[in-house]
Amino acid sequence: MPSFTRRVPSTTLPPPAGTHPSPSLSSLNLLPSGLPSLDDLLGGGIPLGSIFLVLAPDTQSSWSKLVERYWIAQGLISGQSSLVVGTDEELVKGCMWTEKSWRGGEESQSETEHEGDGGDEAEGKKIAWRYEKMGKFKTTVGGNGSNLSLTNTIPHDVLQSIHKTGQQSYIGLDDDLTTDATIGTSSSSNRLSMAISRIHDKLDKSDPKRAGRITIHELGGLEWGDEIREDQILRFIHSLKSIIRNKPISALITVPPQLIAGPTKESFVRKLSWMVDASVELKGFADDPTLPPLFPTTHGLLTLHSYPTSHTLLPSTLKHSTLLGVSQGSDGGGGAGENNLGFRLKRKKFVIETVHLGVEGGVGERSTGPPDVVAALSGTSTHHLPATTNTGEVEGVDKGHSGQNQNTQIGQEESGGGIGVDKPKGPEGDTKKKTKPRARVRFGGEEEMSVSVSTDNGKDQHRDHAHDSEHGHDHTHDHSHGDGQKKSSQRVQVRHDRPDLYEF
Amino acid sequence: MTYLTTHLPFPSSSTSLPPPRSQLIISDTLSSPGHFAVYHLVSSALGKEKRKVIWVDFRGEGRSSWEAILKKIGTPLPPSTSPSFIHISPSSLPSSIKTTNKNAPKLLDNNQKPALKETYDNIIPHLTDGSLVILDGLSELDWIGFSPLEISKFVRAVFAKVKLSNSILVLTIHADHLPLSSTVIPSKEAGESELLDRLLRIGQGCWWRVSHLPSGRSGDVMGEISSHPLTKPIGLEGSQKFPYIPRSNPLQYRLEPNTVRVFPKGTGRGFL
Repeated sequence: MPSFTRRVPSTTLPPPAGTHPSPSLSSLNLLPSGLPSLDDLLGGGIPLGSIFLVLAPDTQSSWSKLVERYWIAQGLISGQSSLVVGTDEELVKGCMWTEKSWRGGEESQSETEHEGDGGDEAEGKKIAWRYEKMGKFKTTVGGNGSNLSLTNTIPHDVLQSIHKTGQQSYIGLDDDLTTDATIGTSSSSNRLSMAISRIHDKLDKSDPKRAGRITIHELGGLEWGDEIREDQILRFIHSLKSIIRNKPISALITVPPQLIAGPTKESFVRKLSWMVDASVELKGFADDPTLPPLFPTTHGLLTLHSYPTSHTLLPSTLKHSTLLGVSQGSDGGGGAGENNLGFRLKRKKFVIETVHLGVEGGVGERSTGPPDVVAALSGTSTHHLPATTNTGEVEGVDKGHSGQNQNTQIGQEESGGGIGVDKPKGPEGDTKKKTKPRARVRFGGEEEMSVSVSTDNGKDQHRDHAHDSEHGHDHTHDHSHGDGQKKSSQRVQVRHDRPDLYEF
Repeated sequence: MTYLTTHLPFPSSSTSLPPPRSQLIISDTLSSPGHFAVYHLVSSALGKEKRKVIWVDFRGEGRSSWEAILKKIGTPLPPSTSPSFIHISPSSLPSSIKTTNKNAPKLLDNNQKPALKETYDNIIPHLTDGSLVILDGLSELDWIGFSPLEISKFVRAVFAKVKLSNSILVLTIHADHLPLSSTVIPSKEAGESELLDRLLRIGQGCWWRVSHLPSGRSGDVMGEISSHPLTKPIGLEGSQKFPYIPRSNPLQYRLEPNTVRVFPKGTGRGFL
């Protein structure tokens, strides 16, 4: 035995089940949220004793509920205790679960979008350095062992056992309030105080070595009473923090959209983000129909308002997050700023990924008017983004599914191209192919197009009504469509690498 | 003497800490938290200066967080039984929940109304000569239901006792409402600036303003610091001045695992 042996401190306790040490500080244990890409943004996970806030300001989607379900499911799989406040079993019953035939790492391999992983990756070129750690065409980060899949729901026998053993418990808000006369008279502060008291009592009796998760569902929503004031919500969060800080428990809070949507609520969102340890906002595109065509493969944009900063001088997120991209290169070079982030609901999982601006350059034209929502909804448009080589008003080619302008198929949320805003286009590589246009809108004086093209080039037909747009360039309408050959004078840009998009 | 001392020297015997009987206000923003500035002061106080530190934790950060960080910086916290570091964590829990910790005064009185008297009574006995008192998180107090007027009265009361014992007062507050440049002006809510205005008017010290870059997050520079002297504390001679670093030419900083790199804007050779 060598004379120099490393003394391992005997006081280090193994992390509680289902947690892992932080990459920045081994004595700090982190809880995985169930979403590996989200964990990456948070610097590895949620530290024990912290509060994580998920904001979803769209009124028509339930992104925050999805994240809640991931959070709960991950805890249940790891054997941690779970406490849900503000709602009943319905939330847990709809949780996702692991793949039935989990074959370890193979699942995550098949899901990553690794196109063209060529040998020339290791060139050593420092282009787009902030994507250095991410592979070519890779927009998100892989799994860390949590294999929750959206194709499976939590099995019935698991549901029964978690309720029976008490691993899953609930705190409702509708119990009678008359029992405790010392609490103040107004009903909403009653419920908040009562919830805090009950959480406190519950956690007092819990096992100090077992990690646990709390989920506060729709804090400030209808269940919590009428006329909840902002300071009451913030006080609740402050109290909750003091209860869980010294315990191996973390909490996830969601807030109903009406409390946080709108420009006047910006300062409330900031206050919330300060009060908690980590805060993300998932803004889906449901409320703004002009956005989906610009980000064709994304379902919403994500903003990281705050990240865990306790226990380390340099927050783990800034040091380790690949998605955020605020890395400190070893040579200290090129702090070019952070990545834009969005999220997408895929068939089997929900991922957070980087959102790319179009290859052809996003801002080609000055926007001189507000976005035309009506046009976007009805599929007509008065604005075109120019192609790189022409000065006309031709569309760029990767308008994929957004080429439905001349018909009225508005069912899909992504319809409506050519928007009057200066926004970048979505990534070229991922254009979805939609069906060919079914109706043709004819304009007076315009010749009928004899070439039927799919999606992208269908815009030829209505270029005429771009006259009234305020672009100020020359609009030449060269509809040379005799034989379908694209002559050089025609303004449509043809994608030679995607002949499948065209029909000659 | 830690990372901020050379750039922000105070007119006091130690230069790393404000002179006695003065206060220091540290404001920050959501994208650039100013905790590192507090760690610098605590590290100086516990390290070279050997002053007693009283930390009134309104934010609910918790002692373990500071233990980990200060150990990394090089000045570990004394053990919890030591009188040279006091952690007071005022609690907003309803009065029906009893706590055993004697350093956890309640912020709500028996009628569930916000009150700072108990916290004040808890702080004052710990004040000894030449200590450093940190009121950490006054914005959080504002947001959970205290009015800016109440908070400023509380600060004045504590400051009066601090001056009597030749101690130093440090306040932290969030100032996201302040404009970053003439073009980047956040939307203003009524009353948001009241607390900061009141505290600045108390004066007798200095204001450190930590803010983020208007161009967004970057790996190299995480934010800027500017220093603005307030009215002069009583007892400070005319020649001694608080450091003045204007917003037009601020210090920039970058957090690293063990320290903070601070450099005037536009320089940074060796760090960048």
